[in-house]
Amino acid sequence: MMMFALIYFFCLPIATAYFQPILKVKIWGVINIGLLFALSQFIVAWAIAAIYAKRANTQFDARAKALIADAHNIKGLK
Amino acid sequence: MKKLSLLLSLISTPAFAQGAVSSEYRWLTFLVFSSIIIATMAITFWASKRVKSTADFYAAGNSISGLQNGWAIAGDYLSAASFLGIAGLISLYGYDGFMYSVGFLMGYIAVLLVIAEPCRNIGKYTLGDILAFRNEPKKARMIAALSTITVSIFYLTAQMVGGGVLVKTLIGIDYEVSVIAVGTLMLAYVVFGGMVATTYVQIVKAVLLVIASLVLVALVWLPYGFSLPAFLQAVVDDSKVQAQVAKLLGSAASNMSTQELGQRFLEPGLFLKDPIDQISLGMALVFGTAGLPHILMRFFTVPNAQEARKSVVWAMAIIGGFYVLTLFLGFGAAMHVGPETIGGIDKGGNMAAPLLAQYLGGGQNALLGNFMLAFVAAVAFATIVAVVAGLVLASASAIAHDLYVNVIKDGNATQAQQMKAARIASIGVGIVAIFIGILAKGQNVAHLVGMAFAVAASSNLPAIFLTLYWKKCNTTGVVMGMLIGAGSAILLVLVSPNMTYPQKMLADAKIVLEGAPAKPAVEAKISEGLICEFFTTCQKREAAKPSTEATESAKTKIANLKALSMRIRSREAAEGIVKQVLDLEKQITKAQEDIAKFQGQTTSMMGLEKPLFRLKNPGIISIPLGFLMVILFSLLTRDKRAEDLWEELYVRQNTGLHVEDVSH
Repeated sequence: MMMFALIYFFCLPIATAYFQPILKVKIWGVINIGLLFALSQFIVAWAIAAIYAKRANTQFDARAKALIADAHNIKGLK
Repeated sequence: MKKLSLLLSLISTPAFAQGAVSSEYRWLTFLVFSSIIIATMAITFWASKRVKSTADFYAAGNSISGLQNGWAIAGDYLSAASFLGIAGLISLYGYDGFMYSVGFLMGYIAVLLVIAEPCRNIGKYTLGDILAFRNEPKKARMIAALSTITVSIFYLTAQMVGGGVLVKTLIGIDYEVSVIAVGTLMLAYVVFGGMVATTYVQIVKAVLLVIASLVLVALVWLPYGFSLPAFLQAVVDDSKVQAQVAKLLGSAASNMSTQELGQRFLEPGLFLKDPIDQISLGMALVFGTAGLPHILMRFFTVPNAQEARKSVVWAMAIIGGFYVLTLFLGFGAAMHVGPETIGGIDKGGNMAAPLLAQYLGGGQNALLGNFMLAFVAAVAFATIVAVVAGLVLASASAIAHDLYVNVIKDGNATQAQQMKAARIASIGVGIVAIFIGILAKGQNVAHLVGMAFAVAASSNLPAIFLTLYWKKCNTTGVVMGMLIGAGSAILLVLVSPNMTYPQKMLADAKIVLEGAPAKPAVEAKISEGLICEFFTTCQKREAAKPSTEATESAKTKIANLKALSMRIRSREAAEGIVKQVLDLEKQITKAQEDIAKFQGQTTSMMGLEKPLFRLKNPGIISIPLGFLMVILFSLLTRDKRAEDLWEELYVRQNTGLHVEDVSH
């Protein structure tokens, strides 16, 4: 996920540097691809955060709980 | 890229000594400012009763909830630089200003995915706590403290100077007085209220900032029925915006229609021009955020990893939402106030948002207009004070907790001694900050915030990341990696175009005074190798340049304008000419001052005639170097402790289980 976020982010400066004509194509009134692309970065950032949080809340926390329980058991055995 | 500076640290040359507020409404400004200061003081008083131990002082007793911490992080991050600076850059350069927002927000992905939870589980108060877990504690703490203090001092200096200039520009009190006011207020929060006061001040400030921006955006957007295309169409159609684009493009704009000029404002390339430098800046922003000590410290204030995670998610929602608002603030200011007026008061555009507030409230002579201006200004002021407080707390904890308690005293200090050390360190850092702020008056400290991000990204992040996630990482690797990463970032900035080069300044001044001769067209040059794209020792790839015509000296230009003014009748045109003449006269004075200042000097502070490094942002070289050095030195040396503790660290960073629970 980190890799995807990084690649997606660095596409923006690369696009503004080398692919300006594409960014200038108007889509909706005066709104061009460049503006939409920049705004999409926000959506992507939020989406990654949401996906991660959901996964962490359900899977990672459960696994951590199991580990803690194990640790207590080991301690109990000693 | 040239003005990353202006954006990040709010440096500017205020043109109006008397401030943006007219004198008859000065009382209103003071009223608004004092009510905000009184409110924060009340918070500090309440907080001071809750600060009893070092855990309260450094980490607010782990009592902050995820939501609260999210707002506090947003408060820390939405410093005056991003609130005023980004809105300003958008108002002056359109699309390119918005690009910064994206980088600032993306930095939080790294914070969320890599840093927040493990750090909460492992650390207590500082970066040193995290690094000392596996590595040799004393060495790790010393290097962590050094790096924390370096990053904080860079950031602090920029904020102090920025704050002084901001207050001076807004209400016209002296620079020194503003710096001392910022410093004293900040010290009051930190010394009496510690992290508790700092956190709640940040929260209150962030909420006020978001409310103020929402109101402004609603007022700006309402006339267009909250339609995005209609709003942007109005931006494109605006004559002030078109004039700004024409000015920025110079001769290239001569055969463009007004519609094309306006549209150009929504397209990239008006401000950021060097692609490699841009990527380098992006790297520093994305990787640096996760290494900033005052942001890192915020994760120790929540009770557990779940709350730490929640706080980043909230922070991202608030910060991202806010940056979307800056798009409207910036474009709105460009339309209603006009880039020329904004740039006239402050070159970096920092006054865009306050001036927009004034306009929307009815303008310069309306009570509401001045109230809104004062309110936005007071929030910006509170922002600077609160951010500085966070920075001071971060460096004081490095000095008192890492260096004094754990290195000098070997961890044997009583609570009372520790609290005393923490308060003394805070006062010390605070006083140093005030002094540096005053000494740096009028200096170009702009590159310091960029440097803080670059150092954090090239030294703190590699060390934290590899300590947490790489089994073979060890003390030598961390120490060498941090030294070389930070050192290379600082060194590259010192030989970069950010510094002042007397010969260049003299040449520029000469062009203003004497004009420049015509230049023939230059053919494209091919690169002599990859390294030449970064250093000036050999030729980099350059596009062909068309020939340029000779320019006249400023004096000739004035004479020409005066001759022209004899022939015109319209009042508006005459006023325009007067403005241009005044502007040229200012340029002449500036050029003469520069000549007097730099006459006889040939080299920069580092003894260089021209920059050795081509980029303004060192990140693209120093960040990979930092990572590489940690890896290299870890592989070259063996460290039994670091290896033995790996599994314990792994368990603890994922579970938050305490050491004693696992090891025996």
